[in-house]
Amino acid sequence: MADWLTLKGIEKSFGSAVKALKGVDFRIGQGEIIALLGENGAGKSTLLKAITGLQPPDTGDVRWLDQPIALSSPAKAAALGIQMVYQELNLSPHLSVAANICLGNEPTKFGIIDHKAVYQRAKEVLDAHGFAIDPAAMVDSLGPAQRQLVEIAKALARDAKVLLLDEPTSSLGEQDILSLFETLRDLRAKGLGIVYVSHRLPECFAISDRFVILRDGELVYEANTAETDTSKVVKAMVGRDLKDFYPRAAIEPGAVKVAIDLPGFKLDIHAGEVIGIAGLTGSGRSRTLRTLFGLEPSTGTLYIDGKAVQLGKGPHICIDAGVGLLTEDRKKTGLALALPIRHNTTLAGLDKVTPGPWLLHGPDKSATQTQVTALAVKTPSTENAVGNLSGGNQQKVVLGRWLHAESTVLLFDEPTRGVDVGSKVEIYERMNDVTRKGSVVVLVSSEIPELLGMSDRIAVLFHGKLVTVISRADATPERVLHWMMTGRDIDPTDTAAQPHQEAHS
Amino acid sequence: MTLAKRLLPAVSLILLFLFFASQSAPFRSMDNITNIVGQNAWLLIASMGMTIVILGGGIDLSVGSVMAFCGVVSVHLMVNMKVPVPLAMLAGLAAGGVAGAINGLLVTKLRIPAFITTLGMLLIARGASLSLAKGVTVDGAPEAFMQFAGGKVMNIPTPLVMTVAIAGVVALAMHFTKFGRYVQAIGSNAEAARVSGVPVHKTLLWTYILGGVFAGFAGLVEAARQGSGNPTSAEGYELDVVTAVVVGGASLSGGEGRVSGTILGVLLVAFLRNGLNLIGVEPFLQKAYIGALILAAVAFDQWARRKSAA
Repeated sequence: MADWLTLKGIEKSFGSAVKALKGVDFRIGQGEIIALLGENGAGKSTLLKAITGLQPPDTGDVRWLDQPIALSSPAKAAALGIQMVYQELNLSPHLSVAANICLGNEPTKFGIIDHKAVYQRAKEVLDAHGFAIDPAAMVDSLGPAQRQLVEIAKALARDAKVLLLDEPTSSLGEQDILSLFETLRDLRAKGLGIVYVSHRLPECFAISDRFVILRDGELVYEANTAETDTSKVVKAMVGRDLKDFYPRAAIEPGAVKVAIDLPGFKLDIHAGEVIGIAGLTGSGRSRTLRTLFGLEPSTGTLYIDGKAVQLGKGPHICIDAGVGLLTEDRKKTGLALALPIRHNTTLAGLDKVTPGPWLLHGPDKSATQTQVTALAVKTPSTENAVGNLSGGNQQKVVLGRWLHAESTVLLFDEPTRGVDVGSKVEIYERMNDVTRKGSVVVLVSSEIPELLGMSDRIAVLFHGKLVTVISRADATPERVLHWMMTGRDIDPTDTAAQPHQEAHS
Repeated sequence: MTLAKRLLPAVSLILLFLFFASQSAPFRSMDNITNIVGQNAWLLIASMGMTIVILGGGIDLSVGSVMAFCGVVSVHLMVNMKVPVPLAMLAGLAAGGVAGAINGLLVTKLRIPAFITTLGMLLIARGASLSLAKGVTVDGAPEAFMQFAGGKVMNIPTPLVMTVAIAGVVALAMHFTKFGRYVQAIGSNAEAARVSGVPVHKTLLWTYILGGVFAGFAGLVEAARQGSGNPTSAEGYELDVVTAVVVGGASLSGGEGRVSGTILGVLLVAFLRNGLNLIGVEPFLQKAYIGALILAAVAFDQWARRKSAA
């Protein structure tokens, strides 16, 4: 049986500098499920976009059932039968299931939509695959699992031969995952080729026939599921050694400065420490930081220098106690992009500029200039709109805001995302500076090398709970990733012998 | 805000003034200028409140109705209840503040979109005015009250003194207080402001209260000019106010706008209307010109934005 899709030597570059795919060979056969894995930035989404025609590859040989073709547009890929189900579901909540399944593809009679035929076609697809969903139901009345099925039904209604699923279980419960797997096995039996993209290793082992792993734009590992195991997969994903890219200074920790007492997360942090928080997407990393900053409702308490700080009552209480948060998405939640650097820098500490309700612009300018100079923000003037700065310089402005506010407990959520290499190192150096002065840094990052490179200790979150704290000396990429994915430590005998037993754990 | 965007209202205003002055001798007379100021004092005052609301990312469509309501409350108190004039005027301002506070609470606590909240208030305030005045104009306002809009201070017409003073105070307050900085930060990115510890709800509440108080003040000026509290007056005035603020360079998406721009926007609307009258454009068509003005201002804004983004 010929493979549905064969890609050979696929290359894709963005600009002149970034090579997202470097000669990838990838095939999707009939009746198989492929687990596609890789760390963030490894090239997974670029590969998927090449397959769906969203971003056609620069070079490479593409064949469909052994015939050369060009995946030049999404319409062309869809016409062949390549369908993608996205992580964020793309359904219209106020339309019926049937209307969603036939959206953009409606049967018509005399030029108007034939609602009866829409219902019929949707019903046929749903029945054919045994999906117990009423075609007339409104999508907003369905749960996440049923919505997922409607998405898949939508793809099947378009005669899908190849189905790409991006983190399909991220919003599903245990039971729903099992029934999704039933569906996928069914589709596999009907000859579909399925690509299953997920960070959840146990699920990949449970459902896939073959593993394909990308790293730095290259296909680095390929194996039949029956012939591989967790530790081989993790090793292939992480690959590289830690370079000297992370200039974490050796700082002798002082007395306990911060004590975190949240349900499922208890941790003491010493003055001068950088604590990394590791966990998969959805494990509660950002949520933990937001809780410590007073943004999420919480029954927990935070102690700073022995004093209790009330959580869940808004960020101003935490800010007053010396906490600062660099949010994950600085454009959306960190900065007022249209406003000058000055407005953004002193926003959290206007009382330190002038007491009372007044605002004097002289002190405001000099306070901003102090931070701009100390952090080497590249700008001609403090009056420049922050939106005109590069990502790295924008991040420095957010950091400057908390240094101006004299925060001593700094929460960094993905601080180097979208930041150029030079600025990354500068931000790491500032972490060294503040910890040298006895402040505490809590670092959330989805880049394992960054966590290992900058943290004195790594706290691992699994399903919202702190499962372990690993010291810098004991931390290896494999070990941290294993904890993140399974909630347990590496145990070579266990993982190598029985990878399938881990599924659904 | 780009320099071009800041200069545009000023340049347009000068060109418009020169055009009308060259076309019509009465336009450039001192009497006419005084007249324009008197007729548009309400517009400037109400636009100050609207500038603050829009800067914070909101909108207040209840301005016209709140103006009428505050005028009716004040005149009703002085004429029918014999309340002393200053006290009755204060009550009128307070009525505006209460309407604004209700707007602000609904927007912040119940998270009803400002557009809907203030549309509701538009109807409520109008209904309350009509009910209080029993559907007819409350006549016979005392002379002391009418002096408020018609008198002179050191030989300068009161409305001019008043508007200059109010605009000056608001401009300084927005520039030299933390409140002004917070309003701008919230309008530009409310979530970023919240994460920086800015009291977002409290600040927004105050923008609506100020919007209501300034609308009330505008309503008192109009009531004093007419010597009565008319429950059907100021209908649709909110649109002139929004026009003046937007033409003055404020962005309806918030975070952008200045008092100086709004003053120019008010003058543009005022001169345009007066000048069109004097050069004999039929009144029916004047609305169309004002409409074209707001479209031109927003089109230019979008164009400048795209250009600076590119």
